[in-house]
Amino acid sequence: MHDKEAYFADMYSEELVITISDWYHDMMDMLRGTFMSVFNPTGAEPVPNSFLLNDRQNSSFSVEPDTTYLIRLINHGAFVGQYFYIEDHSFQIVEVDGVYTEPTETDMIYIAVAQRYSILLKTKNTTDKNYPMVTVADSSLLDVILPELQLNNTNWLEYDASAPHELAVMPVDDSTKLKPYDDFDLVPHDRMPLLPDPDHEIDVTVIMQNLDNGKGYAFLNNISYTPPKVPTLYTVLSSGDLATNEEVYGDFTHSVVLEHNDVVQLVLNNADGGSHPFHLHGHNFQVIVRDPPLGPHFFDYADGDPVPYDPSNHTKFPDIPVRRDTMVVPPQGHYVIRFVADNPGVWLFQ
Amino acid sequence: MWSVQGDRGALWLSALAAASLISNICAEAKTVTYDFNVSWVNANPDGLFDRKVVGINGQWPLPMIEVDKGDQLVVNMHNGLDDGHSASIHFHGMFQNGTNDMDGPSMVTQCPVPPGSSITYNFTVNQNGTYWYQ
Repeated sequence: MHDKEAYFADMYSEELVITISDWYHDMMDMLRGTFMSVFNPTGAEPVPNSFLLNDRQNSSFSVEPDTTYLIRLINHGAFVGQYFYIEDHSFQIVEVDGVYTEPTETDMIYIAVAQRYSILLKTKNTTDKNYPMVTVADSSLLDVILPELQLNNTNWLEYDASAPHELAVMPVDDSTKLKPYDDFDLVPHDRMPLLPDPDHEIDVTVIMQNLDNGKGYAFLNNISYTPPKVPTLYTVLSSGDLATNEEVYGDFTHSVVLEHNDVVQLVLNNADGGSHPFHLHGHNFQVIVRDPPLGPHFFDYADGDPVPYDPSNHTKFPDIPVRRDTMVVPPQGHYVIRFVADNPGVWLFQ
Repeated sequence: MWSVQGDRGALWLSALAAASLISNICAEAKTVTYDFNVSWVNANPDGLFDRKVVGINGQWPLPMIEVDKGDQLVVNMHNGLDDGHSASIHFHGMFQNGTNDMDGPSMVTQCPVPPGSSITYNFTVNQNGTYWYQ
């Protein structure tokens, strides 16, 4: 279906949906047992067995020449972010996570788990060749990479079914050397300006630590989320005036009560050596700082000490910040987001 | 019992064509209903290993949900998993404005749905773009 009111609705004639994911041969129950285990003290996440595109491999997407396609890209994997590009083609980003952006030309994007991108791709006007559509798994996330793991996967933009379908030629030997477009620099099409100074600020540091049972857990500050005995929303609805008292939800749900229509600023510091996407339910958010930026410096803080956000020393907040609902925090870096608490409810930030 | 987030499917939305140039109201907002029976199926997408996966209506990959902006989306989910796993659906990126109880995460906005039981997700989709469900 076409979005006739999208600003780019007249700029394309065909549409494709492409999903990207990781794939495990073992069931989650079994993976959880080996992941959360005294025998995994470093908290290494289970490594997938394969990577898929549209839930399969080696697909060809037949295209007409000189035609503009809207391609909706979704990473619905469990763990691994992936780079996406098409050999010899550039494209324009027009949407991220449901927010239309000014058309932004690039030849590569990085899609973390749960993120979405819509791009406009104009095909060539010759039909003599097919072109690899390449996904590269972010190997910086993977603890041990066995030789049989195929990190780079080729599917094809197919101009001619009878022409060869060659495998991608990898331009680098390590995914950290790839140069994706930094989504922080995207400008929303509606040009919503930077939200005003916050009414409420939440500062959290994400860290992975082992508890006394020897298992590794993820913490925001000193709390690792533990589900309550009663769904939090039901506590809200049955606590009367106490519903605005954070204590009724229990310490380990890490509940923060916000005033309706507060401008909320959340500072996320990453004390872990790996990058992590974080997602806010019920909202999208402006990203006003991310350090280091996505690109060649993304891993600059990975060794050494974490670099937390310093309110007295940071990059200038953009006048029109990018908005999305899932954003990657760099290894031992940080980001700062703002949103308005205009949607009553109980919403995870995870 | 713990909640199986199951598999993921693509969901995308588009705005409705305006009925006239004068009004911004989407006159044709409709109710779109999906019946999802969640059960185990087999799959081998990389050709290396056949395994069971959480399917919907006997299908994997999962069905795509398509709606227009302004539509009422109704998803009747039945948990047909036969090995004790509970289930729920989170529609990632949906604002659920006024319908927090439809957001999906177990023990946050709902109880997990045990095998043999059902839940109906029913909410208005007032946004455009590309999303997914889990």
